[in-house]
Amino acid sequence: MSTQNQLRFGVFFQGVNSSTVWRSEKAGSQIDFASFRQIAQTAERGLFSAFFLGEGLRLREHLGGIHELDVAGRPDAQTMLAALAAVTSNIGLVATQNTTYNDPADLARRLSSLDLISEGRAAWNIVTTHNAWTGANFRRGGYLEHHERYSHAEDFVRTVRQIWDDSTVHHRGNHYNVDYTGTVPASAQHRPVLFQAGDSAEGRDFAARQTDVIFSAHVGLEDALEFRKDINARAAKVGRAENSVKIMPGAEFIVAETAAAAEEKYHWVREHQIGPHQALAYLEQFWGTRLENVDPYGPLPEFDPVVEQSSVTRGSGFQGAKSLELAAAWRAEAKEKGQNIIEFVRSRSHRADHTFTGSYDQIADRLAQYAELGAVDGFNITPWLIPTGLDDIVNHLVPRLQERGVYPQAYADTLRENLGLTIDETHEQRAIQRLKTVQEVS
Amino acid sequence: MSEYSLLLALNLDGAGNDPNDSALAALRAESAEFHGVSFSSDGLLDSVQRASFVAAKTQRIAVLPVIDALFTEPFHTATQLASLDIISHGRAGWILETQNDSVQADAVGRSILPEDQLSTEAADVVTTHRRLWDSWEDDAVIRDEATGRYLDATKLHYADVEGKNFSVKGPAITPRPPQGQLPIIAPAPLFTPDGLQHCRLNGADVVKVNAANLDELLAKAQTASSKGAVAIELDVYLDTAGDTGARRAAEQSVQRTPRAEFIGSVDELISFLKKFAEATANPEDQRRHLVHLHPGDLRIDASVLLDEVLPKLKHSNLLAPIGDTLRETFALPVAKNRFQEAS
Repeated sequence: MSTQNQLRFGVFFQGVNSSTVWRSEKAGSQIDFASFRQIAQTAERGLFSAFFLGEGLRLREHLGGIHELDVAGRPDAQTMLAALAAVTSNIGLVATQNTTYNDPADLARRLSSLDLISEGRAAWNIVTTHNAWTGANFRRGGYLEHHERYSHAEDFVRTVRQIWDDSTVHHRGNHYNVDYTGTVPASAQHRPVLFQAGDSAEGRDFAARQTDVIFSAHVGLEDALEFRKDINARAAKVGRAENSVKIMPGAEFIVAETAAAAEEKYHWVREHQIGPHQALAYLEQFWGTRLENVDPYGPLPEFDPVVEQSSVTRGSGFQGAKSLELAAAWRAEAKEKGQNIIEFVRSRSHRADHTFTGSYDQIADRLAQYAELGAVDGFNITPWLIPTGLDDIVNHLVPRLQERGVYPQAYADTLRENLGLTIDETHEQRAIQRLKTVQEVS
Repeated sequence: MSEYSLLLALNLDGAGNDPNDSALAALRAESAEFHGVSFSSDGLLDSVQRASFVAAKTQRIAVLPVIDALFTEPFHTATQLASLDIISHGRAGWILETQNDSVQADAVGRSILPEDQLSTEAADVVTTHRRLWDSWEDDAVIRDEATGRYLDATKLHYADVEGKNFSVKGPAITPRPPQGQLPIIAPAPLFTPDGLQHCRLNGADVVKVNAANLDELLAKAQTASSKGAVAIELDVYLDTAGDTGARRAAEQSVQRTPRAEFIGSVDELISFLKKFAEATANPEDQRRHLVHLHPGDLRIDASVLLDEVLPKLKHSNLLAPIGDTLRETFALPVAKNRFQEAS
C-alpha cells in the first residue's frame, strides 16, 4: 500500500503539566512501570508509529517554590524506553533529550544502544535550553547564552550524526571539544530517527536542515497546510525533497460514540485539567505574585502584574512574555468573551483548536481530509488520562481511519519505515561501512 | 561458620548486541537462583539500558549495571538508576567504577583526574546520588483534590550538593526509588580516609575487592569484611566434560583483567566459596557478602555455573535467601530519608 496520504499516530506520555488529569479516580500512576507498559501496548495494538517520552531536567517551580498543582516526576527517558522495548515489538520509542545538558558522544552511544535494543525503533526528540536555572543540576552549569542555543544545538546534532555516520569525530567547539570513536554498530534503520519541535524561524530552519520529523504546534487544517508549505520551502533551500521532512502536530483527542457524548466528555476533561487552583496559578505566572484573594470564578484581576517579564514558573516554557501587555490584552479578551478566570485559563491553556472533539465518525472524516490534502503526516497524541487514555482512540477511531484508507493496516520493520521516511543512501553506505569496521575491530 | 551469607552475581558481558540473549541468560540465572546479574557498557549496549530491558523480562533477580562515576553526569546517572529501580520494583544496584582513562575523558572534553583525587570525586558523586534519591520523600505525591495539589512541596528538597568539581541543585526529576537508596558497590581503593569511608553515611554499601590471586583476594576480603559488606570479583574458567578450565584460560591470557582468576573444577570452586564465606563470616552481624562471577566464556562457564555449581550450592546452606528488594537481599536496613525529620 502506498504510504502517501497515510496518517501515523504517536503517543506522548507527558508526565508533567496540566494536560494529564489527576483529580479523578480514573487517573492511574504517573510513575509505575505498569502505566507506561499499558499505554505503550495499547498504542501498539492501535499500530501507533511512536511512543514519546518528554524530559525536563529541573522540576518546575512557581513563585520561588516547587510547583505543586500538576502531575510531575518522570523516569529517565532512555532507561524507560529500553524496558518498553522488552514488552513491545513494533512501536517506535522516542526519547526527548537535551543538547545543552548532555554530551554528544555519550548521547550518540546511548541512542545507538537503544536503537539496537529496540531493533531499529529508536528516535531522538531534540530539545535545547540555555537557562542557568536548569544548568544548576549539571557539571557545566549555565554555560550557554540565549542567542547561542541553536548554533550550539546544531553543532551538537552534527557531532552526533557524524559519530553515527563515520564513527570517529574530532569536534572543536566554543564550549568543549569531543574526540571519540563510536563502537556501537548501526541498527536495521541505520540511525535513530530525529524529531524536533522548535517553531521560531531559526527552529524551523534547524528542523529543515537536520531532522526527519517535526513535532509541530500547527493543528488546525489551514494552519497545518501553511506550515507544511513553509517547511517544504525551507527544506528545498537545503536540497531536501518535498515532504521529506515529516510533520506530526501534537494534539488532543476527545472522542466518543456520539457528538453529544464527546462534548460532555470535553467539559469533564477541561474541568479536571484546570481547577480553580490551577487557573489562579496560571495567571500568577504572569502577574508575578500570589493571587490567593482573587476569585477564580470572577473577572481577571484589575490590578497590574508586579513584574515586567514573566519568569516565575520555571520550566513551563512561558518565560519572557511581556506581562503588562499580556494582562491588558487578556482582560479585554476575557471581557469580550464573557469569561471568568477559570474559563479564560481553560481556553488558553488547552486550546480548542488543538483538540479533536467529536464522534468517532466525525473525527475520522476530519482526519481523512487532513490526509487527502497532505496537511500533516500524522498526529502526536497526548492522552488526558493515564493509563487508559488511548483506549477509545485505538478501539474506535483507528478502525474507522483504516476503513477510510488513511491509516496503516500493519507495521513495517523499523520506525523509519513506519514513518514513511526514506533512507539517505550516502548515510546508509556509511552506516554499513561502520558496521563492518566495528565487526573487524571486535 | 555462619549460614546463609553469600550472594552470587553473574556478569553477562559478551552477550552481544541482541538484548534477548542477555534476557535469556538472565532468566536462566534467575531460575538457577543467582542473586543478581551485572552488565558493563561493553562497547555495544549501554549497561543501564541492558539492565532495564532485562528487568522488564524478569521477576526476582537483581540487575546491576556498571557505571563510571568520573566522566558521567551525576544528575543523569541518578535519574537513570532511580528509573531502573522503579522498573525493576526495587531490584537495582550500582556497581560504581572510576574509569580514569583518556578515552573516556576526551569523549566529554575533559581531562583525566590525578589519582589522588579519585576518591573525593567519587565521594562527591555518591553523595549527589544519595541526596537526589532522598530529595522526594516517599509520600511527596499527595493528589489532594481539596487544595488542588498533586505534590506536597514540603516533602521535596533541594539536594544542594557542593562538590569539589561540580554542584547539583535538585530536587530529582524522578520520585524516590522503591528502595529509597540503591545499594552501591564501590572499589576498595576509594575507601580512603578522604574518600567514601570518610562520609560513611553517604557512602557506598559494599566494598569491592580485587586482587591478583585467590589467596590475596581472601586476605583482603577478610580485612574489608570487618568494616562492612564485601564483594569479590572473579574471572572463572571451569572444567567441563571434555576440556579443562586451565587450557581455556591459557588461551585467553592475552586479555588480562584486574580480577583474580579462578581456574578449576566445580567442586574446587565450591570449596573456594566456602573459604570466602568462612573468612568473611562475622557472628555478630547478618552481613551478606557478594561474589561477582565473570565467566571466562559466557557460553561455557556460565552454563557450568548455572547447570552444576548453583544446584550443588542450593543444598550447602551457603547462599543467602533472595529478598523482595536488593537491599533486603543484602540485609541492609530500610533506607531512612536524610531530609525527613526523625519521627
